[in-house]
Amino acid sequence: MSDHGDEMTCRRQRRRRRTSPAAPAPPPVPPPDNDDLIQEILLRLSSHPSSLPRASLVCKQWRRLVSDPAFLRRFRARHRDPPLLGVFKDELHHPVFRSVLDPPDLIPPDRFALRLDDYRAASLLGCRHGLVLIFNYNTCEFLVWDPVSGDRRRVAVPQELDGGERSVMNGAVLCAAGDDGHVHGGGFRSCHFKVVLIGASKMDGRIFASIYSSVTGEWGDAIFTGPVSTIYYFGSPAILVGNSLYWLLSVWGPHILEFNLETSTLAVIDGNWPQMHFSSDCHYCIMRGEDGNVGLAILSYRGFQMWERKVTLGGAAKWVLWKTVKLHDILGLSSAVQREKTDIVGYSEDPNAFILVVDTDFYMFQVDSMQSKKLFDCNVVTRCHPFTSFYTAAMEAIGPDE
Amino acid sequence: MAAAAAEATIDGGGKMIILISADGKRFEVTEAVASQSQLISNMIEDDCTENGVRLPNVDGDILTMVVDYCNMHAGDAAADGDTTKASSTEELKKFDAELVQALENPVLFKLILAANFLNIKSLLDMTCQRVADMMSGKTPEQMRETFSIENDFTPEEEAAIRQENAWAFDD
Repeated sequence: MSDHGDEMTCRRQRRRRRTSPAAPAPPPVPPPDNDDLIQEILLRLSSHPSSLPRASLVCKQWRRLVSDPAFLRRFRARHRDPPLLGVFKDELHHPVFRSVLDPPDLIPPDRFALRLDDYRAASLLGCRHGLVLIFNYNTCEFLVWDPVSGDRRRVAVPQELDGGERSVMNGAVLCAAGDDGHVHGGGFRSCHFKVVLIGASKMDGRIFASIYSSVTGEWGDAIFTGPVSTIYYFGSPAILVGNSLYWLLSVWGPHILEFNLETSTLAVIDGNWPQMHFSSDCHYCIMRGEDGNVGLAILSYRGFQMWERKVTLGGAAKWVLWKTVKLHDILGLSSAVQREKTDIVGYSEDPNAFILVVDTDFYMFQVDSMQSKKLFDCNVVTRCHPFTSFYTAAMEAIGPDE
Repeated sequence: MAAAAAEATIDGGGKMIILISADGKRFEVTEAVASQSQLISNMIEDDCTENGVRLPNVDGDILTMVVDYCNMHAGDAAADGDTTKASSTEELKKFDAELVQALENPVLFKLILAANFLNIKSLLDMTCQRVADMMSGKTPEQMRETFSIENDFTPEEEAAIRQENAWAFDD
């Protein structure tokens, strides 16, 4: 029933923890010469990208251990959340990587350069689960790219999905595995992916979706919404909340396109925005709220507001103000920010983080911690796609079986 | 004496067992305390702890720390039992932090070996984490120095490895 640890402690003679505290520091001693135990230690290194490359240079044994695929899988599983390595900027329709970390974790743009001649002018649609999705309008194909492993796959869009009266409007990439127990990363050898294509059908004014699976190598049947009005633009890249992907969509005012991956249903949700908080020059994007809700971030003269879309039991939805933050406070600026000089240029649902621009300075703002960090300054203000990944796939590539 | 102790039971029914270190030191602990070691827990199940448990891989000094640790954490393991005996989380955190912070390499590594041999997961986790933390922010040269590891790469091999991820070696 109950243990009597304290009483027993008294029976046993206590000893001093350190036998000779005044003795000079002992000479260094190597860790136990046991692969399993060294891996236990190396598993606990930080998930920052420099950790494993550094350990790989200590000695041959360590190099062998940190490139072992089973170890790398455990490393990812132990850390679970991959670090945010940086952002892919859409510079003149070409993805350019910018690290958001400090040395020695600052990965230079060259390391994650695409180097594909026929992708010099393509559309960067987004990043998710360590993968980058690009669409080439000229050749009508998607490119799925794992920058860490270097794996790339071209996914052609068949005629029936792009051609004639149908055209590709947007897309999203995600790891094919469900969330349970699977940790993303490790290249195409260990992760299958899905590409979700969003297209518009001009004739009947409907939006459609189709899913490509890297397991089957095929596109699924198109799934349609009901008729919608003219589509003006997709306001921001997709966000994944729970089992659904969402796009901010403009159909006579802002609406949200919801694609439920579980039920394979596509629907346009009337935004029914908190209108009075919009002004003509405000910037906004959808975000991940709490408890699987979709959120909306509005950057306006009122400051930086985050709203949540709460659906009642009856099915009605209403927007509830979730957080309000003063930009100059969170960004550590000395004075109030002129709103015309600010913009939201990037967002990632995981981690819940925004990339904001003030003048030419780029900042990252993490919603959960309410912390911000100045990233870099750049005269070219373009959209940024936050990129999270472990650096494990690159270590696997140095393994002995390569 | 050992036999008497092994017989001893307390009101809660916590039987005592004797652990014997490599250098012959004897430690009396309750089964609840000792069971945090999966190795000993299996032995208790198999009823082979009567004459004490000999641990030929573990020195007395190290076993002292292991027993201290297990005594402190016995409350954890028996969470459904008498909570008055369980150490508070705060206390445990402080105890754990002090335990690992105070350790120099040779002792820390011996403790890792003991935790591994005795199969005490939480102690193995804590001690391995301490070593990993000691490596944080260090260059490969500093890691070799800290842990007295011989560099068995040729200069050419080392240069080639640096080249793979040159950015990771910038400070």
